[in-house]
Amino acid sequence: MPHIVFQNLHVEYQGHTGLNNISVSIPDGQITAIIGPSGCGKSTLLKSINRLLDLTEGTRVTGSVLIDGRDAYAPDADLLHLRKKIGFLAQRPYPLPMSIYDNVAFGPRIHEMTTDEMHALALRIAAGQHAEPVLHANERPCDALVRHCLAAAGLWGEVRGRLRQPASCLSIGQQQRLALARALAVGPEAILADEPTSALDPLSTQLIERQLCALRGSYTILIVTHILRQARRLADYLLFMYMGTLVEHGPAHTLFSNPSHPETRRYISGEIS
Amino acid sequence: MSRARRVTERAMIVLMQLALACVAGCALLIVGTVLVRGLPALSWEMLTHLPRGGFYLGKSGGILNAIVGSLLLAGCATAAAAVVSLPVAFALQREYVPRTAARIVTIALDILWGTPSIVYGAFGFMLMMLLGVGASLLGGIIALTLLMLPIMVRAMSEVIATAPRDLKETAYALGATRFETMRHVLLRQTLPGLVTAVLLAFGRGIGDAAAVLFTAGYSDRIPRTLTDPAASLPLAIFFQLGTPIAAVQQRAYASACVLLLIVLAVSLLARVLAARARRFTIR
Repeated sequence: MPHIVFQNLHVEYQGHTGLNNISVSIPDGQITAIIGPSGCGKSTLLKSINRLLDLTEGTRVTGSVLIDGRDAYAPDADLLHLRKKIGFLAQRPYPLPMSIYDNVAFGPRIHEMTTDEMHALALRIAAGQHAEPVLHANERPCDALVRHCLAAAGLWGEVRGRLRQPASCLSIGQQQRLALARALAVGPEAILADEPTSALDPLSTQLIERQLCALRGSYTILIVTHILRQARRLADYLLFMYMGTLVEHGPAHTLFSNPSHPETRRYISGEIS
Repeated sequence: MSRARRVTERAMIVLMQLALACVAGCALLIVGTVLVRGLPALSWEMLTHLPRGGFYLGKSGGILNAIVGSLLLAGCATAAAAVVSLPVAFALQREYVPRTAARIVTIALDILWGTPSIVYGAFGFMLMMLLGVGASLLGGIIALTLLMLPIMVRAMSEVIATAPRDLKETAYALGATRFETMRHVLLRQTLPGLVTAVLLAFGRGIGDAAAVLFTAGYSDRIPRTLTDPAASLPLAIFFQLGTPIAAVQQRAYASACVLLLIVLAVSLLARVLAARARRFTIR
């Protein structure tokens, strides 16, 4: 699991400050929730890890995001390797314009994973899920990997008979779980989730939360949420942000029961939202 | 709602309906005239035979040379233009080239789009003279390719720009390169629109007379090599309408019918292909 550390991270969008000097270390193998009012920089902080911020024109980043001690913003940083290591779930799930199977197999194909690598990854995912034997008779490693990723995302039972159908046929809740399966298929060590349930119904939300909880321990998970109850349900560790600044962070139960900063207290009590 | 607002609302709706009826009426009038005047003259012999001696004076023969010539000219030019246009259309997106460069190229393409096709013909003619080649299939293909390029690039570029930004972000987040994102994600997502862009350019190319007048020339034979002159349906229509013989003039409308049918067939084929491709696109 990668150890993620923010060091004096400062982000500006065309002169406007998005993040102000953030320094914090993210606990490994736990679920860390980033909470705070809208526009406080939660998603910016999340997208700074896998450098999706690079896609936004006029963004200037200073400071560093250390992943296993290596700066993601170093000039010689391998961006593609970084993104392979860090899975990402967006606010609104976007299936790729291909079949359900190809969506999950997309990552292994572009990263040219060997059959041994796929087999090893399928084993790792299955071990995390306490799932059935890795390879069925005559099953190709890629098929096994797709099956285990879909199972780990809680989707295998619903799609096993229609893997060749367009992914766009799935419900939005299923699409979000497909996004999770697709992220797992490249063998990430951390998962970033940017309000992954904001577009989902309560049942789908419950399923996604259940899957994230099941992945706890095997992956370092960072989730952005504006739903305090969700943060209470999921988070082991909490970051509270306000106006681009990291106001307070600590174990979730401590922060919820005994916040030390007045802004945190006001946010948790619902005075600011 | 006040009376004035109600009247304005009603007037605008009537105006829009009138405009719609006007456009539909014009289209029906053109197609109707061509069909009414052309269908009686259309025969199997006309479609399957080359012009014989005295064809343009009312004797027997057909326009097979022009049908094959037009399909070769427009088909090859469409293929050549598509091969060049697709990378250019992708290059015009924000991620691939600096914004200023994209703007300059876009302005240049807009100017080229508005350039009359005779200018392309004259340019193609000059190019053929420089290369020491006379009016030929190759010359016609080059002129039509140049004519189609700005149409295809601009149409493709607009289609690609409509792809959801989050879709690209999804591919990048998985560690895909810009080329992989373009090849595996954007191309699939925008394929139905790209097919339409190709069709639009094909329709423009196959119906153009001025660009091929000097470059492809005209011949009563089917071209066997790229350096042979090639007939085309627009020029066949032009020559047939130019005669004072009524029967030949009627053949011009029959040739126009053939041109319409080709465009209709290609359009239907493109719609079928686009519908297939749309099955996987994200809405």
